[in-house]
Amino acid sequence: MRIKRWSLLARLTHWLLFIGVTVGFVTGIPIFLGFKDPIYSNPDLVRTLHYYLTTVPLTIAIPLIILRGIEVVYRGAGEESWWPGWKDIRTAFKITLHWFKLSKEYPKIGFHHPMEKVLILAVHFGLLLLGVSGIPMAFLEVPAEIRNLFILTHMIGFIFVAIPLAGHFMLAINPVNWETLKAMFTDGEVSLEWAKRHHPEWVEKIKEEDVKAIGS
Amino acid sequence: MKPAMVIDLNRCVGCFGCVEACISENIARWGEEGLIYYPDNVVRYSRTRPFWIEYGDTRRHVFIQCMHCANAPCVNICPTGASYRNEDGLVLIDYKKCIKCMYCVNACPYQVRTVFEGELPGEMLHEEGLHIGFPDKCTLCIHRKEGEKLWTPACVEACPYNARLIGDLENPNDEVTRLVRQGIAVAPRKDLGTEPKLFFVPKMGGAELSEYPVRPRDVIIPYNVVSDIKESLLRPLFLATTGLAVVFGFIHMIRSRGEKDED
Repeated sequence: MRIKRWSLLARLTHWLLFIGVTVGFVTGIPIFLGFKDPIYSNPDLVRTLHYYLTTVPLTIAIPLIILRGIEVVYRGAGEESWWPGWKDIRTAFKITLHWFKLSKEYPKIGFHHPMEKVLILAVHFGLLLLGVSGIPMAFLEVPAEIRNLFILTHMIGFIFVAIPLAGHFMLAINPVNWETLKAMFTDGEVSLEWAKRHHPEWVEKIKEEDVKAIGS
Repeated sequence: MKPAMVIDLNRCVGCFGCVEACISENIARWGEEGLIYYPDNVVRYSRTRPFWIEYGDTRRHVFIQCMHCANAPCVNICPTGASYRNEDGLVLIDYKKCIKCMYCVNACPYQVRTVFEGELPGEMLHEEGLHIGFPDKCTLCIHRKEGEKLWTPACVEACPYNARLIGDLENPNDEVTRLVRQGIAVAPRKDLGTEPKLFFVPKMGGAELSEYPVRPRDVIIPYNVVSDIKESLLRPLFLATTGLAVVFGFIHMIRSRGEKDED
């Protein structure tokens, strides 16, 4: 049995973010890290890619993120809430204890892993900083008085995006998560077995809702 | 050797032969029919540019050109090492390393770096000539250097009144060293802390130096602060945390291998 994990809107938003962030990262990392030998032979092309192939997908993603927010609220904010609460902090603490083998108890995970919620928040905040500083620098004339502030904001935004995404990338390439990764690429569906193992609380909730639906 | 330049504004009559010399030396190009000048659009790209300062009823000019700062914000901010200090302490650009991020153009408080965008026929006269689309600035005519001897930049050579002097600050007998040591020649806006190596002998009681054009006076974040934050905080934070993410990610992958096998 298979269940829907990622809606079409969620998948589309994710892939737009993927394109924009990947191109932005690959073309921007030489500026941030400062390789002593240039890794790209055509800086003009790299700059054009950084300006356009980053900005366009991310700008298209903005209304989709808003739509997704509306979709989540419409369907019920409870299960898919992106905002980490006290319960998530407690769960994250228990997961950490379990990971370091200090506790045998592994808490039940809902639709989102609590760390994933922090990641989503950090990435969106970072993208906001990158956008408000990067778009004016690329396409507008930023007054010299505040240009340093924009550069610094851009760097801080990069940190907010890059650090969580390093973790996200490592989880994505982990074979145990390939099912959800494949779902993100294809129809958004995962097997019930996988969902039960990784997000048992979410599966229980779905079942409860199904019962309620049948009852009504 | 520690080359430095002094411009004596009392001797300068404003003929701007130095500007012309700089254009002929560094900006003009070589084409099929000989030397090519582009007076309409390249004059402002001279690497030494006059700037007029009004002080009471007086109007005087100073020159804007690279200060070859010992603590240069352009060198500090450059991510690739394209802007660097050579063994003589001169700030130069390695165009093979430049990725055109333009951070240096923004970082220079003396606004000396310019970028020429456009098409120019012909070839550069030497390796340190104007590179189209790249940050450009005074090199003190480093291409004239031969061996370990102090050389004469084109602007110094061209000045008919010897208002421009080149000297070695490590040579105590040098005229430039004497002027600087005695406080006769002073660097403009020393308060910026960049330790410039271009000095002026002022004419208007030092007004040229206090009014020397820096970009902008009310900058929100002081020069060098962005590069300091990046180097000492953001870059180590990025490297450490992404490194940890990779390490923990791999450990997690190995640990969860058993789970995959159960599938």
